[in-house]
Amino acid sequence: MLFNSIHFALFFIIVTPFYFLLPHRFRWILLLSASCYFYMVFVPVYILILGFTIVIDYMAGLFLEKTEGRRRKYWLIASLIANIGVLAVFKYYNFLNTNLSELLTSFGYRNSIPNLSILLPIGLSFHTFQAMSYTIEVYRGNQKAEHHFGIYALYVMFYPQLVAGPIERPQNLLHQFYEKHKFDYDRVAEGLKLMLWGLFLKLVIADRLAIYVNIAYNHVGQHSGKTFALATIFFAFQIYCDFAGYSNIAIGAAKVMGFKLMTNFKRPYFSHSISEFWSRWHISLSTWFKDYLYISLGGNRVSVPRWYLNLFIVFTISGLWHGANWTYIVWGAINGFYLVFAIVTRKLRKKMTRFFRIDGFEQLNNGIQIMTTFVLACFAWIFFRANNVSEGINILNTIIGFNGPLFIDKTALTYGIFGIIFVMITEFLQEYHIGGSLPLKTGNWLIEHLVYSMLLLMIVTIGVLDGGQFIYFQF
Amino acid sequence: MVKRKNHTLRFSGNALLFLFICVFLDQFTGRVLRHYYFTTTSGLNYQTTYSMDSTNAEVLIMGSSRAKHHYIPSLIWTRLHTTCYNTGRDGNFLLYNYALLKTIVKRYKPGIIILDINPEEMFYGQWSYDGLSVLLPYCKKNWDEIHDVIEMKGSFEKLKLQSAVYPFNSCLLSIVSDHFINLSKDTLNGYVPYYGHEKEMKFKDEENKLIEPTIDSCKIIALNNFTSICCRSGIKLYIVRSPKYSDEDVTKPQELITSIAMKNHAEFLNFGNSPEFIRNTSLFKDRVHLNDEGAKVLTNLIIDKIQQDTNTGK
Repeated sequence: MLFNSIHFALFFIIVTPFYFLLPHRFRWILLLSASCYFYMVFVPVYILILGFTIVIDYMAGLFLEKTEGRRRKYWLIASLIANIGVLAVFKYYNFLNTNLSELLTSFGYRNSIPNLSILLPIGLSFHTFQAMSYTIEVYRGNQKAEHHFGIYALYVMFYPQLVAGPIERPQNLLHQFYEKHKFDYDRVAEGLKLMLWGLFLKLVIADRLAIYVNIAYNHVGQHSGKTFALATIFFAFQIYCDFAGYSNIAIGAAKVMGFKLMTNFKRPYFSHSISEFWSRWHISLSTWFKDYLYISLGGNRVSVPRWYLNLFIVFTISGLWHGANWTYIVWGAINGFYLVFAIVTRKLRKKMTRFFRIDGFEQLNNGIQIMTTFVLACFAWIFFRANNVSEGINILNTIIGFNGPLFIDKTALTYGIFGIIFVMITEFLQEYHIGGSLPLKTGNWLIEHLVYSMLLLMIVTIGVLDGGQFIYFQF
Repeated sequence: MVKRKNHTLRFSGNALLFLFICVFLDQFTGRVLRHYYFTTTSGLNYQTTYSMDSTNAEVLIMGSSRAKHHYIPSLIWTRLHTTCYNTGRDGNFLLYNYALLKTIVKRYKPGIIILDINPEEMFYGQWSYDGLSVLLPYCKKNWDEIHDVIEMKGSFEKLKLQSAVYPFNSCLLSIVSDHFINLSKDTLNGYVPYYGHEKEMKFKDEENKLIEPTIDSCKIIALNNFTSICCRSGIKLYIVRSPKYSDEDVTKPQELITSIAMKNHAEFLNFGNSPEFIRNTSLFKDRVHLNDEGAKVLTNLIIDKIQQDTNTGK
C-alpha cells in the first residue's frame, strides 16, 4: 500500500480510531493484522518470506538467551544466514548470475544457470536489516529476547516503517508495544502535521522534479550538459523529498498512535562535510552500518590504512544494499572515497582556509562548505540515478562539456524550482531558527490551521496525484 | 479520564475547524480555477472544451498528438468543401477519444470521423490512464458520458471528485498561461503544425523497449464501443494508422483493430509501412510525428480516399 494513495488514507482512518478504542491488551493484534494487510496489498504471497524470517529470528532470539558459549554464535550465524540468504536469493541472485555469465563469456565459457523470474519483495532490505539488528542486539546482550511471538512479529512488521524504514533497533521499538498509549491531542496533531508535510514533500516536490529528471536520465545522448546538470540538482532534491517525505509520513503515522520512531533525516543539504551529510541522511541505515559492520570491522581503532579500508568497505556495501546494480556500488564507493579523502586532506584544507583567510569569515566559510558538500553529493547522485555505469559516465562527460541548450519544460521547471526554493526556505528556518522535526511552526493555532490547510490545497492543486511509488520501496 | 476526554474534544473541535477551512479553500479555489479554465480562448484546454461543447464540424479528426500534428483541417475544407476540426490532444489516446466521442455525439452527429490510432496504443500501460486526468474538468457537466472512462483511472475517482480543486490538478500553470501569456487564437481549427526535423532520428530500439506488452482489454472494449457508436449514428469512420519514421512490428494489435473495424463497417487505413513515408526525413519532425510537409502529404492521401469512397457511393 502506498502512503500517497486514497487506499492508505482510508486504511489509516479506520485503523487509528480502532487502535485507541481497543483495550491495550488487544492492540498488538490490531496492529499486526493491519500490518499484514498493509504488506499483502503489494504481493500477498510474499508475506510467507517475512513469516519465514520472523520465525527463524524469533527462535534464534530465544535460543541466544538460553544458551551460552560457542552455541550462541551458531544461533546468531543461523539467523544471519537466513536473513542474508533471503536477500541473496531475491535481491542479488540475478545480479550475481548475470555478472558471472558476462565474466564466463569473456573467457569463452557459457553459464547455463538460469536467472530467476521473481519480483523483488517490497522493502526487503529494510525489514531484513531490522530483523538482523534484533538478533545481533540479543547476541550482544543489549536486548532481552522477546518471548511474545506476536510482539516480535509486530516489531518486524509494524506498518508505518515496514517497507521503507526508519530501520529501528529493538531497544527503541520493542518496549513501546508494551506501553499504553493514550490519546494525546498535541502528539496526534503533531503526527498528522508531519504526515501532511511528508505528503507535500513527496507529491508537490519529489514527483514534480521526477518528471524533468526522468526525461533527462532516461534519454541519455539526447540532452545537453546544462540539462543534465539541472536534472542532477533536481534529482538531489527529488530523492531527498521522496525519502524524507516517506520517513515523515512513517514517523507521523506512528506518532499519532503514540510510537516514537527514530529520526531519519536532519536537513542533509545543510551539511558542512560529507561525514556530516551521512550523519543527517538516512540516519537509521548509517547508524546500522556503523553499529553492526563498521565497528565489527574494527572501526577507527585499527591501523590507519585498515581504517580507510573499513570506511571504503562499509560505504561500498551500503551502496550494494540499495540495489543489485553496479551504479549503486559505484555510488557507495564514491562516498567511501570522499570520507577517506576528507580524513587524508584534513590538515591541508585547514591550512588552505587559513592561507586564503576564509576562516575569519564564518558565514562565507560555512556557505562554501555547504555548497561543496552539495556538489560532491550531486556528483555521486549521478551514478545513483543513472540506468547503468556507462550511462553515468556519459552523463558526467556531458555535464563537464556543458554544451548545448537547456531542455525547457515550463511546467516541470516552474514547479520544480518553486518546490526547491520552498523546501530550502522552510529547512533554513528550521535549521537556524525553529529547530525540531516539524516545519511551519508558528505558535498560533489558527495560523497553523491555515498554513496546513494551504499545504493540503497545494497538494491537490499542484501535486502529482498520479505519481508512482516511493523510490526507496524498491530497496 | 476527564483529561483524556478533553483531549478528544479538543481534537474533534480542531479537526472540524481544519476540515471547514479545507472545504472552504477547496470550494473557493475550485470555483476560481473552473471559471478561468472555461473562459480561456486559447491553448490545449480551450481546444478540448471547444471540441466537447461547441464544434459542429462535419469532419472530425480524433486521436493523440499524432492526430493533432498530422491532419490539416484547412486542406480538407479546401478540397472537400466541408467543415473540419482537429480534436487531437497530446498524450491522450483511445480511452480519451472514446469519452470525447460520447460527449460530442450527445450534442450532434458529424458526417465523418477520422480516428488516428497507433496500434501500440492497444497495449496496456499506465500512461494511457494517467492522461485521462484532462477529462476531469468536464465530469461535472458530462458525467453520464465519461464516468465509465474516468472510473478506469482508479477506484476512488468518484470520491476524489468531491473536491472542487481536484479536477484542475496540475492545470494552474496552463490556466495562467492561456489567460495571460499565450493568447494566440486557434486559427488552424485544432491543427498544430511541426516544422523542420530533428538532427538525429532515434529508432525505437534505441529507446526503452516495451517489455512483453499485453493488449489491454479495456481498450478493446473502448474501440468496439467507439466503432459501434459511429456505426449506429451513421457516422463514416476511418481508423488511420498514420506513418512513423521506421516501420514496427505491431501485427497483433493491428489485426485486432482491423477485425473491430470490419465488424462495425469502419475503414482501416494503414500508412504504417507506406514506402513514401518510411525513412523520409523531410516529412518527419521526429520518429513518431510528421512535420507540416508530411501532414500535407498524409491529409491529401486521406482526402483522396474519402473522395474515392464518396464517388463510389461507399
